[in-house]
Amino acid sequence: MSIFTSWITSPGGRKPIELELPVDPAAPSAPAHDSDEVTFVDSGMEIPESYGVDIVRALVQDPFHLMVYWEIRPESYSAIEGLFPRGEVSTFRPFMRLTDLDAGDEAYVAIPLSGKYWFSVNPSSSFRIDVGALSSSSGFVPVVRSNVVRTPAGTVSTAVDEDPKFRVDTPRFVKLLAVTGFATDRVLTDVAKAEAALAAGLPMPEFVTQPSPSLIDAFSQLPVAVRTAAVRIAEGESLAANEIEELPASLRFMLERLLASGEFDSELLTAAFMHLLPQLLRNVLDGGILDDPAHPFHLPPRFATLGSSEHVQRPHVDWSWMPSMAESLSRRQPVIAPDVLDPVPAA
Amino acid sequence: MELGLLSIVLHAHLPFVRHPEHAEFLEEDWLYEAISETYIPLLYTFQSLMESGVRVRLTMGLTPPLCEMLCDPLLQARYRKHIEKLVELTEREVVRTRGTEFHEAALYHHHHFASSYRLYDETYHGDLVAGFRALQDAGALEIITSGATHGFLPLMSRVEARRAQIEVGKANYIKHFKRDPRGIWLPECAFAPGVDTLLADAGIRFFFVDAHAIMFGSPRPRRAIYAPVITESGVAALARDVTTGERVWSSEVGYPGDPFYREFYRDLGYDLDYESIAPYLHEDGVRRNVGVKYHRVTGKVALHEKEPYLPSIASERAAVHAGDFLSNCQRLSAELVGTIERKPIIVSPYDAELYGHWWFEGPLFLKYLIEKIHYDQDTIRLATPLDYVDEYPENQTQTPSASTWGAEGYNRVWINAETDWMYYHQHRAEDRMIESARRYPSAEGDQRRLLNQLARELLLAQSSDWAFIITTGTMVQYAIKRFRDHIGRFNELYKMVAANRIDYAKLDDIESRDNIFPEVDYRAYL
Repeated sequence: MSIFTSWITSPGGRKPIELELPVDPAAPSAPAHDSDEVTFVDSGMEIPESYGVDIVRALVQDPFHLMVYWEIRPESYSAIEGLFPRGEVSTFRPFMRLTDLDAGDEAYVAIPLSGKYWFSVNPSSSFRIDVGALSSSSGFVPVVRSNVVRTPAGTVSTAVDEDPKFRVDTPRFVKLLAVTGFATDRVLTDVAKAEAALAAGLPMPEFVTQPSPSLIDAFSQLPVAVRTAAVRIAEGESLAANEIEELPASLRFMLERLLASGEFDSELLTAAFMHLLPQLLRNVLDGGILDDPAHPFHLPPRFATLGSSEHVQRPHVDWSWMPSMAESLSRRQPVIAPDVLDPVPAA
Repeated sequence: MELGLLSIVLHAHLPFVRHPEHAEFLEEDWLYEAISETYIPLLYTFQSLMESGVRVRLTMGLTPPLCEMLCDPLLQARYRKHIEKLVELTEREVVRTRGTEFHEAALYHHHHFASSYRLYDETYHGDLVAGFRALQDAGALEIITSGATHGFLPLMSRVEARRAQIEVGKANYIKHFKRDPRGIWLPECAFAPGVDTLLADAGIRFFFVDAHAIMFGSPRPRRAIYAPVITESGVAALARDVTTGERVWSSEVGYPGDPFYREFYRDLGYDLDYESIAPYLHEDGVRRNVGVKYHRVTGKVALHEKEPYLPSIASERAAVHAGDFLSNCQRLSAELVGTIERKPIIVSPYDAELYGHWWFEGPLFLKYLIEKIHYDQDTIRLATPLDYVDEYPENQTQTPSASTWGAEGYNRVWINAETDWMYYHQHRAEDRMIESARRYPSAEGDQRRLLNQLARELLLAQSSDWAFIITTGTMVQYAIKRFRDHIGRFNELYKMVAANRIDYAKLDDIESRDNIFPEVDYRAYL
């Protein structure tokens, strides 16, 4: 099950929704530390499984995901039982409540007394988690409350500077997005075109770099409305109002929220759609970091594996854009090339 | 006419890897390889350019763990032994390859390693940090600090723990560079609103973020990523320019993939007959990369089909690429001037180890780029962030978006299904460290020793490298071991604090292993 489905948003409604979820659905258990029977592997010192405290903490992964861990001592959990009639206490079950502090939405998850859990959430929102007991008649009784965390927006801000010196109008901002590579994305538009061609049985268009088959496959699993919109954007169109209405509820909700700010025109909204699209693909492909050497995952610049040198894959590049080499390799005599470590020539 | 400023930022970092308990240790090779391939080439490149009268003006981050390792006598001695063996191996190779198509590459490698050794020993006397400090003092480099152990600040639960990373890092910077740091490389460019306040408190004036931090920041940036924004706490944030940086980083269109550059994955450690290479392997005798590589990237072919590496041609390619990079900067600046109504600052940050270690010709590329900027044109000027702020003191106030420079742009590289188990332990150690510091706010003598070591273990456990390595799937077991060992040692020391009873043998042992930051003061957690 995708973790995206584990957080059911109910815009406009505050009705708690009880989720029937296995504990810790998304996150596989920690890597095995036990020694192999044949080969001794030094996994380091023993570390405790629990610390005997009451705690719940939330951490942000990205605009769409939170991780929560918690530990409630049995005695702390039992302590609340003394406050309720005995008949009701028998119905208590440990539960965790996620509250979207901006929308007021809540979601409830049945939990053990300690563990960790991944929530799929909305961008640009604040969240808090309470761990406690759910009773048949009194509702949720919180025992421990987490820190408040806020997810990043994942796209451009709705706020425009009030200082005229720094105010940027929408057409100029759209131009700046284009210069910085944030208006659209070559790879994603290529993927959209490639998938559309495959689906229609048409010949594959010419690309600078062929889109990864795994990415095309992921794209093909997106809802039809999302694919249709992406293909039109790939052809240079902007997102139309009727297309927004047909998008999946969660995506539509995000885009409509941006529109409601009054600072988004259709071009900017189209850019926002493209900013959020990789996260939809991520949910299709969920299961690890987007870094498969066999199929390097090319997402927009900010999503590509640009960050650390360990990620640099040896590329297979078409170098035709570079000036060609004048000399033939085979006839060359050994030459000591200039080295950065050579002594500095005398002035 | 000057159209724009180019701010090249090199972030040099390795996790603290030092194992006195073993005669040799595989992961220590990370440091030795980086010294020969990256740190000495960069240092000497900048120094020689400056001595030739070329204007050098770059920003360079040398993280506290790296500075500590570069100054560590045990690791310095081990590096000498390492490079001596490479000089010997390549000397033999020059003879063995005579008359073959690999001779040029063999000559080049011998020349390179012999030069590295000579420079390390005779020019820098083993103290590379002093070499970089001298370049800063001469105005060629702006050296910036980082988190004490490259800890990922937004995933720490306590503000005291974030502050300690910054304060301990700053103190270490002052120890090595004899002045206060003016800028910082936030570990993994990980920013979350609030981090800037801690930087302001430490007197830091600028930091770097990824492009979407500012493009998605609030309010919208008037000059996109081509001018700094100033956070509410008064610190300047500068974002990397993806379009120019991609030429260096990208696996699709980056320079390092040129067919004439040295192939990283084809190494003499695997190519040479076993009897000949065995004396240069670790004691376990397992074939590994030794850093001598005779093949070029060639193209989309299998490793056995790679063609001979010819350094002289690679050097020409580096010059072509430097020219291409410069012309891209010129073109971008010309395009931007009208839109942003100012000269842009193009920020181009990289892991320093990309230059030389991964991209062998990288230091040569930088050398050519700096020379071309100096001699061949007057539209682009090398500048540091503070050079820009001096020229344009008035900048937009903005809250950048929470972000990192990792894959996908947020925290997924460091917190995911493989690494999420680490944070409870790390956070409990933060809580316990703060509790211990508050319990003994003015400890002296052995109690102070104990609390300082407690702080070292927490700092080492917080290194972002462990989660990064686990996520990327390389040397996973080592990263898990290191994290568990530091948490385990922390917990042992915490028991001593809690019981107010010191096990001296254990404390001595832990201190001798994890000797980073002799100057650390646990009161950073108060």
